Parts: sequence; C-alpha cells; structure tokens
Amino acid sequence: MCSIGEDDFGDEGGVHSMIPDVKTSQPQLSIDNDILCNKCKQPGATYKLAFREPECKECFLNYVRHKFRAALGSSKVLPKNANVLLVFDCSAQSLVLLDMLHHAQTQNTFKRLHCNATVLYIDDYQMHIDGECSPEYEKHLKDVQSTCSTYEHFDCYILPLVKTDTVNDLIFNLKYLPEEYSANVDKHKSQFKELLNCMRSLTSKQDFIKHYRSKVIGLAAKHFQCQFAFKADISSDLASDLLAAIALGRGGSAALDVALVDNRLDDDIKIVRPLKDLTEEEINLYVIAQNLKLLEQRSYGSDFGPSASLQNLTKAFVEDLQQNYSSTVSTVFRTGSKIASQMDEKSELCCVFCKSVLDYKDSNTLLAIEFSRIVSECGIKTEDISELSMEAHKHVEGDIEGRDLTKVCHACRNIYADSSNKDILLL
Amino acid sequence: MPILCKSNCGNKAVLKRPKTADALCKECFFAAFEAEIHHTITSSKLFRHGEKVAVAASGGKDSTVLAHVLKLLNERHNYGLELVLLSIDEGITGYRDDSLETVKKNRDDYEMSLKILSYEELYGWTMDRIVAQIGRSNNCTFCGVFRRQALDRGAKLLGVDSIATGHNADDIAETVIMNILRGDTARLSRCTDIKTGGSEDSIPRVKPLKYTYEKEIVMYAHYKKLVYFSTECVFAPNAYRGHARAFLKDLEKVRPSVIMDIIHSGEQLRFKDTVKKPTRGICERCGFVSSQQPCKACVLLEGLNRGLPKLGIGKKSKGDRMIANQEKEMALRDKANLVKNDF
Repeated sequence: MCSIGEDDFGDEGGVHSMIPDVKTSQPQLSIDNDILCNKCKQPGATYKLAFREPECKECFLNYVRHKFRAALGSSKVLPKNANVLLVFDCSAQSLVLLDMLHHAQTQNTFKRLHCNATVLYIDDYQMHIDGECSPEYEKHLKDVQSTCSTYEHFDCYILPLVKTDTVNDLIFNLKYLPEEYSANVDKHKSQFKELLNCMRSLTSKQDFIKHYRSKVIGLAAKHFQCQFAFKADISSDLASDLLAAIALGRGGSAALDVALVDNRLDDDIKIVRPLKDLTEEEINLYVIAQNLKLLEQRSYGSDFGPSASLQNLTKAFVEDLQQNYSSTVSTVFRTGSKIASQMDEKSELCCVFCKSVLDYKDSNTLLAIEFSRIVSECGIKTEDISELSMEAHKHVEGDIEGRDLTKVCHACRNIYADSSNKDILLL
Repeated sequence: MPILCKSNCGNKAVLKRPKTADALCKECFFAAFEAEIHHTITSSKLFRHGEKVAVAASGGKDSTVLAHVLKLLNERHNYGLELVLLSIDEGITGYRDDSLETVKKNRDDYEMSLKILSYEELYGWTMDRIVAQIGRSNNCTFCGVFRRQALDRGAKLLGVDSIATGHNADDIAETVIMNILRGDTARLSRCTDIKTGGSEDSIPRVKPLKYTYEKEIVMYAHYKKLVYFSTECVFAPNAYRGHARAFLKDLEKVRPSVIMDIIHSGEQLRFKDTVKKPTRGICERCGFVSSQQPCKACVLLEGLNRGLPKLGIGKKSKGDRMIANQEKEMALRDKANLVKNDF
C-alpha cells in the first residue's frame, strides 16, 4: 500500500512542501565598492553570503572567526593553555583553521586563545603515487613546507600515513625535513598499500582509512602530549559523513562522527571540530579574503567517480541535493546534532578498531542478516528453524568461522568480511 | 556450465538472491524467503495464538505477497491466526478502482474475508475531489493522514488484534534517509520499529516484511505467479522522495547489504534528552490516536468542509488565523443580512 504521508512513514505536509529553490544569481564577491557595509556602514561591502547582508572584509572576517571562537567558547571544551594538535590535510578548510588559530593566538591578551598548538600534516599524498616517490610528490612537500612556514607561531610536523604501531620514528619537523624522508616513506608505503589491497571494495578501503587515520591522530597526539586534536571538518563534510555513517551501519557512533567533541580515542584524547558550523561558501570567501594559497588535496578513492563507493555516492548525493534544496546540508547537520552518543557508558565494550560502542547486542536486524546467510545455504532442506536461529545468534555474538569477533562492531565486521587479511582490524 | 544451487540440493540455480548474493534454485529460494519471514514473526513475537489479524491490502506486490505468505505460514506453523483483508478505497479513478479488483481476486484465492472502507463513506470526500480542491502539491498529505486513520477505523470495526502492513526493508531504509534529510527526529526514532502502537487505546501495527528486500518480493511474486497490481498512484510522484529513493537504489548497487545496514543504523540512533518527543494521546473530536489536538485528520477534514483546504498544511497558528478571518467575514456577512432585513 502506498505509504507516503502515513504517520510513521511519510509526513504531514513536510516533504511535499520541499520544493526546489528558485534559482537566484547571488554573487559571492561583488565588485561594487560603493555599497555600504551593513555592519560598520563603511563603503566596500564586497562580501555577500546567502541570507546575510553585504559586508566589508573586516566585518566578514570577524563574523567567521567568531563562529570558530564561539564553537570552542560556548562548549568550554578547551581548558586554558591546553596542548592542541592541529591536523592539517591540505584542504581549504584546514588552511582556514590554521589561519584562524594563528590569528586567535596573535591577538592581544584579552582576545587571545590560550592554547599551545602543534601542527601535524598527515601525509597521505604518497598513497596516490604508484612506485617510488616522484618529482610531483617532492613539489607537493615543498608547497606544504612553504605554507606552514608562513605560520611561524607554530611548530609544524609531518607524519606519513603508513602501517605502524608507533609514530615516534616517523614524525619529522617540516622545517628540518631530512632528505631521506621520501625514501623512508617509500619503504613503509608498500606495506600499507598491500593492506588496502586486501580489501575488495573501495567502500571498505575508505572506511578503513578513515578510522585508521583517527588511530594515527591519537598516536601523534599522545606523542606530542596533546589532549586535543583539532580537525577542520565543516558542515557540508559532516552532513555527508553522517549519511555515509548511516549507510555503513555505523548509526550507533554517527553522533560522534559529527559532534564538536569525539572522545573515542585512547588515552582520553579528544578530537575537536571547531569549524563545524562553517559553510563551504564561508570557507571560500575566507580563502579569498586572506589571500590563502590553496594546496593540492587528494583523498583516497575520490577520483574513482561517485558510484565507486558508498562514501563517494553519499558525498555526490548531498552536493547534488544542496544545489536544488539549499537547506539540505544544514538540516542533515542539525539532525546530527540531535543524536546522542552512546559513549557515556564507555568501557571495554568498544570495538577494537573504530573504538565505537559495540552495537550487536540484542539486534534483531543483525540476527536477520545472519539468519539470511545461513538459511540460503540450507534452502529447501531447512527444517529446524530454531536451530538455525541459534546458529545465527552465535554469528551475531561474534563467533564466526571459529574467529573471535566479539570485540568488533557490525560495520567493522563488514570491513573484515571484505578483506582477505583476517588480521586487518587487529593492527 | 550451469551454476548450481548454493544449498547443494543438486538443482540448477535460477536466481541470485539480492540480499545475500547466493545463487539458488526456485524451490530453495521459496524456502529461504518463507523461513526468513517466519523467523521475523517468531523472533519479534509479532502475533499470539488465536489472534485476529487484518492484512492491509492494496493489491500491490508487497501486500499481495504478505497475504500469501501469512496464510501459508499460518497453516504451516500453526500460528492459529484468523486473517482478514482490509482495504481502503481512497477514491482515485484509474488507480484504486483497478487495484481493488486485484484485492478481490486475492480474497477469492486466499479465502479470506475482505472489508473495503472508502474515504467517501468515512469523510464524505474522495481523493479525486480533494485533488480538485487543493491541487497536486499537498494531496499526499491528505491521503496518508486519512489512510492511517481509515485503517484504524477499519481495524476497530473488524475487531482485530493487529494490522499487518506490507512495508519492506527498502521502504524502511528509505524512510530512515528521508527523516534524516528532513530532520524529523520524532519519526526517525520510531520508523524502524517492527511493531508500533499497541497501547490500550490503539491497535498495534506490525511489519512482517521488515527484513525482506523489495527485489526478493518481486522475485517471489513472479516465480509464484501471484496476481498483483503494479501501477504507481496517479497523484503520487514527488520529486524529493524520488531523490531519496534513487539514492538508496544507487547505494544498493554498490553494496547490496546497505539496506539492512541502514535499518541497523536507524535502530542504533539515540536522541538527546533535549529533543522534543511527541506524546501520543486520543483526539478529542474523533477518539482516534493522535499526538496533537485535534488530530491531523480532523483538521484536514475541517479545512475541506470549511472551504479552506490549506488549513492543516503548515503551521497551526496560520490555520488559526485562517479560521479567525473566515469567522470574521461570516459575522460581517450575517450583520449585513441583518441590516438588509430591517428594511
């Protein structure tokens, strides 16, 4: 029966009022210098954001910087003089975060953000290069070095994203990057690539990299004795991350994927997302206003096209929907902010790989998945349903093919099932 | 070389199960499909022995397969259920009139009694007339709200213990995505429930096909040669829902298990204490379950009868203003008549 509009399923007027926006041409940067700034009433209101009056450069910068400071201030997450690791990934937003943090630290005493920041570039660019490191990679390293050198206030380090249990020997100061760095990366790179190649689908590879990256951030934060790691995720990133988490079966931990503070890492290290309220438009204008030089950023698998993985598909879907329904990102992002995390009861009941709370207990859906697998093998010989159900129950509890997966969550079990290396999650 | 059935029964496989990617022969597919629904019913304790259950039947693939499988399992596993078909005639020419013919055929095939309730007899309006009044922008809202209540009214009339609906796994996964896209936390928190309602003043609704893929339902109906009606409602097309549906289909192509993973995610979501939760009560006007006063069906009906069809669409304050304006106008008109009569 048609389920549109029913109480549990459809809506009561909501979805049918969701009609595409009427397209209006809205220049982001006006060339008309005569317009007065709506805030300070001075001429030169060249910055125009959707839903805001035109404003001058200074007022615009104050506005976006305030969003950054407000995210940290209102939550009181950062104690005075905390050690912070700023995770730099070459994206426009991480450049903005770097610039904003630099600005916040160079203010007068009254407005200064009191923290000790260290910048860490997690070098995943090398993963995109087949064979030995190329001149293209050397140029990329030079660009990163030159960008970071403009922020003298910070010590900037580099750490290649490779298979490792300890990061102490792999972290280098960008200012004094040794010549053998590239060769060293080459040595470790193949091992990590081998690991990725064990997984059949790009979906699993990207999911694996995302959580492995978090693990590496945790190790690096511990190395620098930082209790906080700043990530530069903005609202559009978080909207697609939330939907992707839902599609991957990570509903139980989706709240932490998009929250201001993610406390899943070991040693009580917290990932903080101070730019979570910024939009892509604001980032673009900030880059122009501050004349920041953009770097080339590559994320694993993004060049394989939208239908190559669930994550690529979700990102493309959100971007596409945002074109016609401009409230998409903000609505999804707001939905994410209403979801509670299950980490309050943090204990040993966490996944060994992604550190999320284990989600398989009493799940009828997972029981149905396992039952399907088993009953397909029995077919017409299916006789004793309760016996099969018991077997399915054992699988849900993590007893699969004699392997102990009791400490692995459902989504990570999907990575495990997709991989030929059965030790992949126990890195 | 032909591919053999995964169950080692020795037969040639005729299909690849979309859910598990296993190649199965026809008979093994039937067995697996039916065993899964039986497992869902028993593990979630959907029915009790001796209950009377209304199958919400539209004549479409889902409700046809549901009626067929429930009858079969009821006999095979001795559930002891009395099954009846309950259909709602929304009054949509070229759609519901044809599909009801299919339901009547199901009634004869499955030897179940059938009760058809129409919007016309319940509300005095058909969907054709409603669409003529309000146009095509909000018509699904009327239809959905009225149908929900009509099913409750029908169930009460038949004295059943529960209503079984044909919502499948794809429907539920799609609804999880839709509710996230719309920020509807109230529905997001309950759309994955296999059983809803069931408090002392409402009749529970159950979804025995919650874990059944739409593709498998189509395959089952096809191989079992079940008669169903497959035309889309003439008023249904909605661009926004279409986006979510297409997205889900694209996801499914990349990873077929995504449907179950989304349902699992939906079930794992917990909401902050600060998020407002609707409280279910009883409408003071009609006495049926509602989370607001009066219920949405009563507001929509009042709008239609007052000649203010947009009354129940959008904010309540807007509706209140519309009523106040209309009453002011009526009062003025009455006053004018009074003056005229004096002469």
